[in-house]
Amino acid sequence: MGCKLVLEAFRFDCKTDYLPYYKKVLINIDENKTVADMLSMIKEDESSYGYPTGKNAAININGKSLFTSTKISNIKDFFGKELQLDPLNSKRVVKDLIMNEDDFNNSFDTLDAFVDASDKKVFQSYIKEHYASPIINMEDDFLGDALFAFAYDMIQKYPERKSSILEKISHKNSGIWLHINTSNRFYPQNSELERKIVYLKNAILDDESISNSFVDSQRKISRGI
Amino acid sequence: MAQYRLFDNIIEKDVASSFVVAAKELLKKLEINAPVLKNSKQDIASEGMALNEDAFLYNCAYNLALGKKDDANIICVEDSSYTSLNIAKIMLVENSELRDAVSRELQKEKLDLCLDTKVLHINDVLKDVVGFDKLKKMIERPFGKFNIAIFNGNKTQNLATNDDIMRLVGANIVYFDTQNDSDGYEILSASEDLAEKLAGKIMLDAFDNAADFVVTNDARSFVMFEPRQKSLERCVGRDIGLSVFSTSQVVLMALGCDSTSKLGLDLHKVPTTLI
Repeated sequence: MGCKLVLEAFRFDCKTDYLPYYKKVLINIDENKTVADMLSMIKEDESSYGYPTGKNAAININGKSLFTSTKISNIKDFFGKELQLDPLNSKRVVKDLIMNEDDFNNSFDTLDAFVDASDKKVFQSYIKEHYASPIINMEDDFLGDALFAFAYDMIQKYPERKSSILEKISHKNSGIWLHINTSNRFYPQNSELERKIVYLKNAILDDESISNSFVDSQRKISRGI
Repeated sequence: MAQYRLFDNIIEKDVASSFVVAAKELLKKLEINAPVLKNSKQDIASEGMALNEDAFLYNCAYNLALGKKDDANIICVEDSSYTSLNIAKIMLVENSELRDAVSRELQKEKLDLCLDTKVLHINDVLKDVVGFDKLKKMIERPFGKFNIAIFNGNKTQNLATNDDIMRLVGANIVYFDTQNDSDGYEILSASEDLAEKLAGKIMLDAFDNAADFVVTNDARSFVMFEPRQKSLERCVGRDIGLSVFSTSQVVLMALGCDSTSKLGLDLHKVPTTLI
């Protein structure tokens, strides 16, 4: 079934533009198609339009992060027919919805020594989590929520490396203590990350081999509860 | 007839006690008998759960058991305690190992684990126990000239009810981009600076959208927005000067209450010029 959508598409070229702007686009699309198909249709009219592609391609629609594999029928049911398309993080845009993802990829290095190269695919699936947190834009050292979600997964996979992995994410100025709840920033809403964060914080405090001044203070508080 | 107990052992109770004061007065005015749930354990919220999940579950289960012991429904005066009790219920229903462990601990206190205790938000009481028709008839001072910015944070429950109550008192709800953002409370212990930047941005956003005051039903948000407001102003480099109220306080004012002590406004830091 066809569906008319009114789009406000984010446009910015870091090579030529000082400020981003929104281009209004009207499209008629089959509801069984995906967001990726919709972006492809925009490109048919705007040949220079840039957007992420591939398995983990994700954008923001009306402020919510989602994979571009999401069906248009679901988008229409949840958001309606007027959609604002944005990159996951407008501060890192190279071209329209395409970002420089170096900070995300560099974050993986923190746990690189404790996992196999093939595990990086799991990490890359958490790109939405990484950019959903506003702390990424506020604290350069912040490791990011993608790494915390990945750390949880790797602890399940390599339980013998649990302490080493937890230690890496335990620091006050870069670690899990700067995580904020972003569950309402995703479509569909997802509180799985919050469950993992609770597990990781409890696990850090339960592991006596992990010690720094902040963890020690939190451990003291947790025992006083 | 249903019995009620009011849960007053909220998080940050020393600085957010106006939630309890106003809710008690409101229930009294609405002739709902809801004595305090005695000997309760303090709500340690999701932040406490992240530090000690066992203690979080035990405290919540303990409070639910006290409610059952009194054969009463528990009324929560703010969001954190309401969410904590309901999350704990779900976690204990879903995990028999946790349930058995908590049950054993409660037995030591001669309490029985009860996951059937009904937990009501004060907004649910206004909607389902009092009823909006009755409430509307009782309004003496509608908020017709006021723009209210409702801060919801990442909560998803009770939002429509809260909006309905604000409309019922005649207020104009203003929408602002950051109304679902983090208020920063959850990182306050790790970085006061970042936490206040997050909170300050929200308050400025409410101010710039012509809000006359902000409504929040979460004690943690209140802690960030009200007593810290001077600090937020320094953080964002602008004056804010916005009062922060709970829904109970707004309704109470609409019902004609102008006593600052009954409203709990004497416990606020930002001067209120509404009355």
